[in-house]
Amino acid sequence: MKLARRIGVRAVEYLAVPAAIVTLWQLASMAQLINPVFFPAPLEVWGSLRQLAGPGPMRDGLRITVESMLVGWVVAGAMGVVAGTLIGRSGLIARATGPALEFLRATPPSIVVPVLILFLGTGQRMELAVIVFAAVWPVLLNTVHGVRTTDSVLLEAAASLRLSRRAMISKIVLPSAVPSILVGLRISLAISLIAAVVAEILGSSGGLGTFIVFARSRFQSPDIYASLVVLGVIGYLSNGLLRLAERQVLRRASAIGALGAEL
Amino acid sequence: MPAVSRHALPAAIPLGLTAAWEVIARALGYDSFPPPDRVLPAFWELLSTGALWTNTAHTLAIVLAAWVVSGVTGITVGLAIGLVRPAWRMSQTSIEFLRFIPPVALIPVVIIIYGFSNTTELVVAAYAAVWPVILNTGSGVAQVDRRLLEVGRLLRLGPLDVVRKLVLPSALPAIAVGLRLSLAISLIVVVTTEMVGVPDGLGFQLVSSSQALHQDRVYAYVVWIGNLGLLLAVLALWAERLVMPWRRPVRAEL
Repeated sequence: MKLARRIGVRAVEYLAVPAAIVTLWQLASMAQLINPVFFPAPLEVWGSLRQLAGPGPMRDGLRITVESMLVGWVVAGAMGVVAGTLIGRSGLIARATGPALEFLRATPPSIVVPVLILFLGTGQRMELAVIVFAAVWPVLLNTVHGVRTTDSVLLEAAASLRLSRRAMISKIVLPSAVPSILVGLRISLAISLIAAVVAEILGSSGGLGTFIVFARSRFQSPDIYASLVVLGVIGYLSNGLLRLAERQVLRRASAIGALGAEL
Repeated sequence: MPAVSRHALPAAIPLGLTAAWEVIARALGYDSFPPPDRVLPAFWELLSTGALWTNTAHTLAIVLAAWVVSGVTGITVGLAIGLVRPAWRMSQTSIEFLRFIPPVALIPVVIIIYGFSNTTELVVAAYAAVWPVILNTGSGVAQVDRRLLEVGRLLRLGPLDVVRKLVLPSALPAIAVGLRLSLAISLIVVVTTEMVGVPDGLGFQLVSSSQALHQDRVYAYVVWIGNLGLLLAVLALWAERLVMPWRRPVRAEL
């Protein structure tokens, strides 16, 4: 009973503000206080969402966007972990690659789109390249951070056990960097979604971004807003899922950390 | 490691990459992949006609404006949700939903509202750049030591003085991280908005060079904008250290 009430209170807290905003928005557009082309009424957006939910351009677009986001994210994640481990373990590599990486990281991902189109055309391969270019940094930086902050007691223990270099990295360094890597992966996923849409809008490689461009050219504001809602939901859900995974791992990691302290 | 190679190595990689670019581009001979010795003249031409400066000034002015707008808004909202716990919980859903809408996807909507104007660039960039400030300020303020607030009560400070003299200074490192992220995001989004819709500034020059098949200019703009990003990042870091020499590392909230 008490639990049910607490859940009820939480639900009200989490949903009250969005519900109020949507209601006010709906009332304002019914009273014709806001321009329906700029801000179409929520019910109208809902209608176009329901209409677009069937087979058609929005669903195809959604599939392409989500697929690119996930594939690009996995590639960026793998590259980021490998490069981050190398940079985190070796001061030489860190110093050598530092300036070049700082430059690439500061380069807005959108400006490489015209260049990538020259090499890869306007298809999904170009889109994946943009995603990888944009999304690799959070994983890379967080891996470096995680690898560098490995407990020195653990490293000394590994050294005295005469673990090989490879065993040291796979058994000690990477596992203890996992919480940090997960944070990087979560941020990367959000960036993957953004980069996918950037590539789709600039390169018309299909997907929700291209769908939005078409909707705009026909001044179909409800369709644009419907896409924005879908994009927001994808971002919200994927972030939430990874945050859950983070919490699970952190709980286990703190147990390992306690074990490490005992060593 | 001797001092020479300590500085030589970081310089060697970019130089080596540039040299490799020259060799490979010459060997391939593609129009789409000009070697640096063709990009450099294009760059000089853009410099001498002044086109580069006016467009850089335009883009940077909007980047800074968007940064200020998102900074002021973000610190205000962050303070509110950091100080008032229920406000934090109640705004959670809206923030988590809104911040994941890709800013580029907003460009078409904002263009419908504000046309192809500086306002459009400003609005989209400020929207994108406000989230790291809100989140980092919020968590920085929420982590302010409760004992500090009690001291404020003992000293009978008014609520405004508590915020100004106790809360803001101790949340400053976190706020600075947020502001630094938001500056980088502002540049990315302003340039992207210029590429996607608003015909002005560096982003538009890049796209129109690409459409005019001036590949040498495309590369010149890409390298220039990349360096601009690097410069802003370095300046922000430098300013942060200048303002807070005691700075301890803070984990960024994203």
